[in-house]
Amino acid sequence: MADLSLGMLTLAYRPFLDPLDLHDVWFWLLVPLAVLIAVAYKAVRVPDMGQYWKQTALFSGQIILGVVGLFIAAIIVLNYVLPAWT
Amino acid sequence: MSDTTTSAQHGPPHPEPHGLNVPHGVCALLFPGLGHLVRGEPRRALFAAIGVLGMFFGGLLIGGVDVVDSKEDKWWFYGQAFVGPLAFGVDWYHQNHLKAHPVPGVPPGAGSDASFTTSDAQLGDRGEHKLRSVLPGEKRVVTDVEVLVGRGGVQSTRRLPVVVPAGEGEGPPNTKSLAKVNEIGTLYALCAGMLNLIVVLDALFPTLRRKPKPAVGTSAAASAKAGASHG
Repeated sequence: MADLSLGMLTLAYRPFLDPLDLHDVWFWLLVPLAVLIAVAYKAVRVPDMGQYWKQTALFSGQIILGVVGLFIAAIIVLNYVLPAWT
Repeated sequence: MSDTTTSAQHGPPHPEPHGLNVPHGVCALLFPGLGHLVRGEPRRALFAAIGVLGMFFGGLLIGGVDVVDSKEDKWWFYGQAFVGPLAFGVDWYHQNHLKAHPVPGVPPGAGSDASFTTSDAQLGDRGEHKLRSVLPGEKRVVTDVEVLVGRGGVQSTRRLPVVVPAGEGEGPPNTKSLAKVNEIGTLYALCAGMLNLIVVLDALFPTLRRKPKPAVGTSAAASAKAGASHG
């Protein structure tokens, strides 16, 4: 059993088949997600493509601020509102 | 902006009449951004494709191919499916080349091969030998399986992928992702599908988006303002 575990541990990482070990930094993955959402959304919604990058940056910031705002709201509700209410 | 100025003077804004372009919508559904490319908007097509494909393959990179699974995560897959044939292709590969049936087998003895026996009911979606991901400590092999078909139990031999214990240095063809990494990877692929739905709708109904008309719009708004001030 020890040999089996050792053999499994030494298997190489295979992109797209094995997950990345990002459990400790998962929340940072929301940043590229917000940017990619903005890139795709603004590609079809912005009227003037000359404003594309400005609009994309603005929308990315809005998404990130929205998520951070939801995080803060959740912290307040869970740590202060609900304990005071119950 | 000119639309807003004009509509402020003449009542509530009315949506522009929009057309229906089915071929462009179908192209957009076939591959992210293809509808806009065919329509003659290569920059929009490129950025839409970068965004959608970046999210889809980003999700696959973060959570592995396990994040696209029409059997075990079907509700998520319904959203991911809007990426198009690519999502179905990845799911097909996942189901047919990475999963296996957990059919209990008799280990090969002296001079005999391993034998696996099951029934078609057990191999079905609700059976205990249905396809599943191969776990650590197991591996996937394709071998002959004796399958009892129907209530009469007619025996037939099929070549099926089955789960067997892994040896040293062996393992599953892919690794299931867990917890947050799985959730974020699934979310990436889902957002890719949802965003591609917006791209498809924009290609399908092309005039829904405000058309760029900087020179005409600006001058019309300026003359309308001038007219209003003189009047």
